[in-house]
Amino acid sequence: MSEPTTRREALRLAGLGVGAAATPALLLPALARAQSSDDDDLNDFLEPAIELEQATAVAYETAAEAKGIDGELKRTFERFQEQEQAHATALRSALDSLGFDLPDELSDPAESDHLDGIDNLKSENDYLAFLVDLEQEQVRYYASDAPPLDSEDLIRTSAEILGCQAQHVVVLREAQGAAPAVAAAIRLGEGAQESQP
Amino acid sequence: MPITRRRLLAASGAGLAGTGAAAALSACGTEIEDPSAERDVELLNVALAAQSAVASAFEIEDARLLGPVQGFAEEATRQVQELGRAIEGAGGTAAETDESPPEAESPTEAAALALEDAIAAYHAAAGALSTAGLNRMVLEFIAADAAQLAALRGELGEDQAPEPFVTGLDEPPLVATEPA
Repeated sequence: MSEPTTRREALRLAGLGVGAAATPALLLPALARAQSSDDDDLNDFLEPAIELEQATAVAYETAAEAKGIDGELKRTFERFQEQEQAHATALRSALDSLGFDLPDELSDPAESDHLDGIDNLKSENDYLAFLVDLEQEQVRYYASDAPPLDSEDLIRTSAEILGCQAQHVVVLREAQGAAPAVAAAIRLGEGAQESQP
Repeated sequence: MPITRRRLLAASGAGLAGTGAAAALSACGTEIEDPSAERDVELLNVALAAQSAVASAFEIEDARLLGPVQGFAEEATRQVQELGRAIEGAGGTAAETDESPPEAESPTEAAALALEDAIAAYHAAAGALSTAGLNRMVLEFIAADAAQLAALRGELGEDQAPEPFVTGLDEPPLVATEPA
């Protein structure tokens, strides 16, 4: 194989081995981009997003393990915890590739302001209400904070995550007893005309 | 072509495992088109056609067949109207749309299929549009359509939120990851 001639080509070739056996940890040094002051806005977006995703994952884990949560709802919480963790992992990879320090992994709910009060939750309805609030906070965050970025990839990935969070809201609201049409009524703004710069 | 912030995730191979590699390769093999008003009109017209099919799926003669989700038509119409205004705002002309809903075994399933197409069109536009306002609009619409899709899937007895990265029909996620 000839030597790669461009940084883009080097990255593409590095990517070739990814699906086979290499791990992210081994590849990231080779893939890391030079961090610049222009990247600060990406860091400013990614770090809070990671913290929110990690907190939501821990919230689902806590809810799934809570007394009285079982059956289909428990399985739903477990699956949503995995999906939140997948979001966090993707965003951590992006932040790492920029060369910024990563936020600490979260395992103790007491270490996140997003999870204040989770220890006081008692019932299924308490957990559902808490999780709906967290998911709605995520929906607002991705819909309002991602668009100003000039990274096409981050906006598109935010769109993918946003769609998932919106679906979580529907499932949780329906579990609270909302009718489908009410559960799915997600409005984030008044449209593009008013919000264009 | 140099690596740019616009292609951060694809270039870095973030996610890396499984389909992430394919996504990264696919992205690296594609020339990136810079955002422009002309490109905005092109992408938004694709979304308009897809969302028009959603609207037509909800405007069936007997709306009762849609059961508890018949109220979704209003949101679909709102999106069609806003897309038309956005296209005109970008200096373009909204393409004539006479979209029929996809063929399916039931009106609910047809609406679900149409929503997946619309989500895919919004996904293609997200981040590729030239203003923050337009990108915000398509993100808002993805959230709305993904939520409606989840509700319809519930009516169909399907998994309402099966994937962590929602892309629409036949679209792999830009970043695929395995939980750490």
